[in-house]
Amino acid sequence: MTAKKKYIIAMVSLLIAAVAGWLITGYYYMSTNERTFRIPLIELKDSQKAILPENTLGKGANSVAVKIFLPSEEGMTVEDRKILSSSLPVIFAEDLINEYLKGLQGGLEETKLIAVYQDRANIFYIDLSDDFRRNFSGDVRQEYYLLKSLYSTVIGNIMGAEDVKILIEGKEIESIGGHFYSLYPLKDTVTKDVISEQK
Amino acid sequence: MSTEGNGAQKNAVIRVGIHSDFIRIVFITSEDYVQKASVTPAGKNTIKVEFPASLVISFPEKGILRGDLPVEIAKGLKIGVQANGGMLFVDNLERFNMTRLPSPSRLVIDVYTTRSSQVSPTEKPVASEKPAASQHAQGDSVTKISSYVIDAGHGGYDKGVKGSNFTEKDFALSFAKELSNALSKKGKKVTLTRKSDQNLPIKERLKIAQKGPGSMLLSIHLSSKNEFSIFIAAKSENASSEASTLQSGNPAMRDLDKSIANALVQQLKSEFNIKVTYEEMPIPLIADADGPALLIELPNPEKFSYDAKNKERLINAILKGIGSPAKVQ
Repeated sequence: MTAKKKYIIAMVSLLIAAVAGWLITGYYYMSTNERTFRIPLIELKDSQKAILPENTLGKGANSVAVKIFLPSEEGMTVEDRKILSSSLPVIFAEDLINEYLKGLQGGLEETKLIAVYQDRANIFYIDLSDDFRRNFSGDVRQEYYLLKSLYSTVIGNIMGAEDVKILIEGKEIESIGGHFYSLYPLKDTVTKDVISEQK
Repeated sequence: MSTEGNGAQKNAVIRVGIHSDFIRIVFITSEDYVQKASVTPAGKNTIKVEFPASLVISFPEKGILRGDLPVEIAKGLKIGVQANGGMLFVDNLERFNMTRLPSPSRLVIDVYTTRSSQVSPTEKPVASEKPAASQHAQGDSVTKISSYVIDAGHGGYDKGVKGSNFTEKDFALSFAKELSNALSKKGKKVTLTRKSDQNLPIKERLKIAQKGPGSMLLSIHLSSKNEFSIFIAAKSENASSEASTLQSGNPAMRDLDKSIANALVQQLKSEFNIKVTYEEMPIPLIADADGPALLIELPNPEKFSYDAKNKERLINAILKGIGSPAKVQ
């Protein structure tokens, strides 16, 4: 067989494979339009289930004790709450954030959680409605403690969570309140030692 | 701070920053060059900086650097340019760190010497022995503040603190203009980051504010309470990430920031009988400025009277605090 014939056979085989692949993929996506479960950014391995508190493991929803951190007049408060949630970290994080949002004030409680994603570095991406940015009205300290309370709520309840990043309507935005970056994960901002002295 | 392409050959611009305990050398060039650059020790007091291909290196004060002879870019620091990089010759070199940063893409080399604090850039004026009103002591040296950047916080869709009859963005702009006028009347060079109601990202404000170590940035904001708050950047513990680097104060300016902040606190305390707080927070705008930088939150207009007399007292106190006492007309 000549080299030219081999080349033609290889090209035809590739073309058939590509068409077959396209048909199969197309069928898969068409057929999953109706699916209602949410797909996390990465697939969860069995070992990752260990990042949740022990009592959340299980097939159905469990009542889970959580600590919700909220911004307050003088900084931040913490409240003990119970939520019904799943063993999947991303679903658990969604229920956790929904509980957090309920506790906010000044219009921020109108914020809708769009989605939560988790990446391979265990950074949790919290995708919020624009109400979170639009309804925030506050000074430097108020913005700082809003960011810190969201970060602390995620980090304080999900073992293994490394950092938190805010998205608004699926996009990165530079700042929620004009003082701090929200372009980057929050840890570097909210874990620095802050000093406040009355003179 | 721009990098321009030149066909196949790239350009790099060098900037040098003198800090209290290290010298920062920044190569601003294309991202692929920054990512592929190598920085290695090349003998005593010498660091080799190598990019993946040839490039034209320039230093703002000296233009394009050419030839084999090392050129002094700061006291005790020379660069010998080669086709694809150069050799840095650092007097009394102890160690160095290298970081790659985006926006603009840049290679940052911090060199530590046994006498870094004595090194001063060749292009900067020598500090005088007696500080004048607009000079501030910083360790053993004195930094002369030659210009001011006044930043009116927020703007556009970002309204800031809202009240029944005011928004922070409008108040800050109006006050920034009045403060700017007062400084101009004293013969000071002043730049406003914004002059109208526009949304201006933090990074854009920084571009305007980065006018060298002799320029002071003062960002005007409002508190939600009846109090003054003076912010300087939080201390840099370990600037390991881009965010951390951008939000940690310039170590060389930290003492100066503190000194001006304390002076301002004292002036406000002596002039007004309300709470004044001094705060250190990782605020990127003031952390990444070249020169001294403060953010001041003024009392909430619903709780503090901004009549003509109080405004004059306030502007005067600020001018005195930042080192330029003046009678405001």
